[in-house]
Amino acid sequence: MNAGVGTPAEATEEVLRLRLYVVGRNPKSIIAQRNLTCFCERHLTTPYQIEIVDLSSNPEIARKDQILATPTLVRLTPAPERRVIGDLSDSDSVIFGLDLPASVSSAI
Amino acid sequence: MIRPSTSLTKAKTGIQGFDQITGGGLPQARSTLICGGPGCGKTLFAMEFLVRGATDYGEPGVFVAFEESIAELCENFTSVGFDLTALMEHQHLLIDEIKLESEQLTTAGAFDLDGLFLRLADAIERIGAKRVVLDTLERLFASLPNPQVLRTELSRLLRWLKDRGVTVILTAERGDGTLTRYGLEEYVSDCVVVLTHEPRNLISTRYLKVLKYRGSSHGTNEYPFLIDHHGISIAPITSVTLTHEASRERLSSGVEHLDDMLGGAGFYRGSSILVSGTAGTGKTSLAGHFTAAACKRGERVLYFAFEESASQITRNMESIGIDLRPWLEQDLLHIHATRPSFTGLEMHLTLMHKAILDYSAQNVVIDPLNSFAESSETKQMLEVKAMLMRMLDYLKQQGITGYFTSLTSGGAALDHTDVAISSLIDTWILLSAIDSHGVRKRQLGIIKSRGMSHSSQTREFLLTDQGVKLLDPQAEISRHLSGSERVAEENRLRALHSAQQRKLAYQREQLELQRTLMETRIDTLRAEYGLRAAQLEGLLEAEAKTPTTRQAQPGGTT
Repeated sequence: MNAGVGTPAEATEEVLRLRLYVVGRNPKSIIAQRNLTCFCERHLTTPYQIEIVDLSSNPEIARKDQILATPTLVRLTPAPERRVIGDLSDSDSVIFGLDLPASVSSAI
Repeated sequence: MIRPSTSLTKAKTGIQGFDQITGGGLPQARSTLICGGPGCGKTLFAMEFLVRGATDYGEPGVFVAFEESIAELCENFTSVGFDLTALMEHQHLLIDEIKLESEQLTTAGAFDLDGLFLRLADAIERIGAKRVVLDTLERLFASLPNPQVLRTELSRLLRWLKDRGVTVILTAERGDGTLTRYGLEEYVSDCVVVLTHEPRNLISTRYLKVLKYRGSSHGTNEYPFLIDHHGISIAPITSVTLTHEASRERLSSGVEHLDDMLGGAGFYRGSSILVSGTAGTGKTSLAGHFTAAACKRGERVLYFAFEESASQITRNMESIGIDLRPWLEQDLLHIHATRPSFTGLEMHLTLMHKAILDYSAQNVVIDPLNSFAESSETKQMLEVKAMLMRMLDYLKQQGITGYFTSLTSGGAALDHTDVAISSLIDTWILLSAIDSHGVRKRQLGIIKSRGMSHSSQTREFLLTDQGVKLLDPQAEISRHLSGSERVAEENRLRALHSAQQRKLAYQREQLELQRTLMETRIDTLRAEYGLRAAQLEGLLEAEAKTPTTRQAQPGGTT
């Protein structure tokens, strides 16, 4: 489990917490990490947290967190949970999938 | 086409009957597709494969559940006697529950199923699994977008599992006109098993068919199968060869004089006995005698009743002096009473097969055998016949004595059995009733009895409160007459008697006459003798007087 990357945020309920599940040296995973960083920098206007989880070193997490397809990006907060699968190359789909409120994103 | 079985190792499923059909189970280290509609027993088949593998063959298994939760699975399988919780605690089984919530899922770019691979790899390593079930993998298609990616990933998954040497079962729902809804059969080429659940003749029955088994011969029939509290069991398979051991041991029929008619000793152990006759001729009573006799020898009897309930049979048997209750209490006798229409015909035979196995019966009574045939249509007759043959074959193979009754319908010839199983029958007893002048006379005859010299007489018998009594052939004549027939018979006997008397008197007269004749002859002979003797005496006297004159004659004149 890697430490959070990105802008540090205050511990409020409004904070956007994202977690990306990846598989080690899988090219799609590497691309997804890069895409996520770009996406956040470009579209997110409010504070957010990003956590990267490498399943190859902790496979039981995949079972615990119900991960099937990789890479998977999960919006942990605000509830409810949202999931986006893929290498996150399609940023429109990421915005749609994460169901980000208009206030936190500067999309389109 | 059929390669020697050594070329392919098989993983025993432990599912009753299945390993026989496939000659040893599923292909080891390969994948098998189990497909069928909802409620066919796919999940059960797959789970039983794992449970039996873990408990009987020391092969732990991983169950990947795409449809049900662990709690649901544990609960559902309690009813078939599988304690999944205990198996999981002992690391013999690992259930990985996969939740697919498609409504919260969006795709943004390329993905693969490495998450699933990792989970599976972890699960397999954790318990050292040799068997894996994916139930139902196709749910992925409904939940994840991009079927093209899924297909690629699927074939990668199967290759990957093959490399790990695990035996895999995939389950899939049957599609419209195709084996599976998403064409999974394209990826699984080693073994395909189809389960169906279809009503035939308004009665629903489950069937199993091995559609394909690469590198192995297999039964190609549709086999009816059954799900009960011990899991799946598939109907016995018709034996191709007649290899059963023929016993020389003889068993009493329970009726004293009937044993005399059967070469003096009764039936052979392990033979098939058919008692046929019209209604009310005492078929069940004879079966009762046989049952009681077997129980008395301490053997186990399984009695299948298709017309009466267990208590009805015991009561009726009591009325003819056969008390079955002690045997029921000692568990030497079990009466299995069901209606023929309760389930499909073939299912009956599957149920019966299972019951025989479970009870380890040495004697089986089926009363009556043809109740199946009656409840079926003509086009099913062949099917029924085939199944009955399988049943009888099975009994013979196991050395179980089979005692069957068969009801002959009124119009049919008495020696006509509807199911035409006579060739499988070793001893065939025919009961008939003759209605004469207001009284039904029951008769018993032995049509055939293989391997023994049997009586060819037709004997009258009575149903008394001490059971079936065969009457002596000599005493048969006027024992059971009444009314005008009795009078007629008496007259006939009287006439017969006086005729006999007259005949004797006549003979005596004749003899007397002969004696008189003889005496007369003696008298005549004596008289003749007297006459001759007198004549001779006369001549002698005359001779004594004349010698001088005779001597003088030569010296006389001339």
